[in-house]
Amino acid sequence: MSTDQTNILKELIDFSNKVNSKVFNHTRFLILTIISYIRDGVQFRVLKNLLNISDGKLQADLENLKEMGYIEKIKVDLDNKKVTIYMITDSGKNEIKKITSWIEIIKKMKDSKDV
Amino acid sequence: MYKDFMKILAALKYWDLPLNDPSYRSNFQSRKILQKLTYICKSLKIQMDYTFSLYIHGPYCTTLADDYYKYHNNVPKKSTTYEPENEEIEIYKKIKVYVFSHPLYNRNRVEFLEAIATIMYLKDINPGLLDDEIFENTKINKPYLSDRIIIIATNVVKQLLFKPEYLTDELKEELEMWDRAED
Repeated sequence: MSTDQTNILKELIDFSNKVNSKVFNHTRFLILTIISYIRDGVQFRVLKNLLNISDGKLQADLENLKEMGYIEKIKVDLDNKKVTIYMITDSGKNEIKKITSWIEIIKKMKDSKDV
Repeated sequence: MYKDFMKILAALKYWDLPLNDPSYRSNFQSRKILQKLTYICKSLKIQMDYTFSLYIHGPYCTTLADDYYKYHNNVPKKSTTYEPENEEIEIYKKIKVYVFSHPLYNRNRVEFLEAIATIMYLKDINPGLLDDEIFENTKINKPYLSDRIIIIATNVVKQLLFKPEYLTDELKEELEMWDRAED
């Protein structure tokens, strides 16, 4: 194993400790990414339609992300009704950055192998 | 896209539409209305460089979102530097007559605008779609919109897209015949 390969592997393993493994679950990561992309906030019914998962699973994942401080649950007025929307927090944005940086390392590792 | 956003503010000013500061997290309704009305204006050929995609809340443009967060103070005051052209004023009038004067606008304005904008988007990307296909596609994308709202919005879109030159003598005659039948 070359020094370069050892360095990349070390970087990969070291950086993985910075990523919150509780977010690194398929649905939670998707929810977090969608909510981060739509800055305006997303309604529960819209997430449910998009992800096609049960109310219970979606609710549980949203609650987990909220408890971790990555998303915020806000009551808003919409057509004279109170509805709930979910918005990303700074901490949530930061977590996405960490995950994407980690993925970049994986990509770098794959690219160096291809060479 | 400062100029495009100023155009939207000019429309809001013309309609005297009350909207809150979109940068406040709780003002979700104002952000949704801004997105949908901008798409409706663009679809009716008000020249704008905003690019929309059919998103989870209907047509949505991230650059427009950047603009209303950046120039958020302009929204409640509707302060703009843009002077609309006559053709644009005609489009504003059309929207006022067919959308804002519709009874559904007072009761379900956000869902009504979302349905209209979604149907216009579907028609823009596929002009050959039949009414049944539009209904089906809208229902797939927005299952939470009621059948009634989708059907009413489809008719409103037809009114918005109708051009005077479509009104041929033959059609005029037929419409008069229907009017007489109603009497």
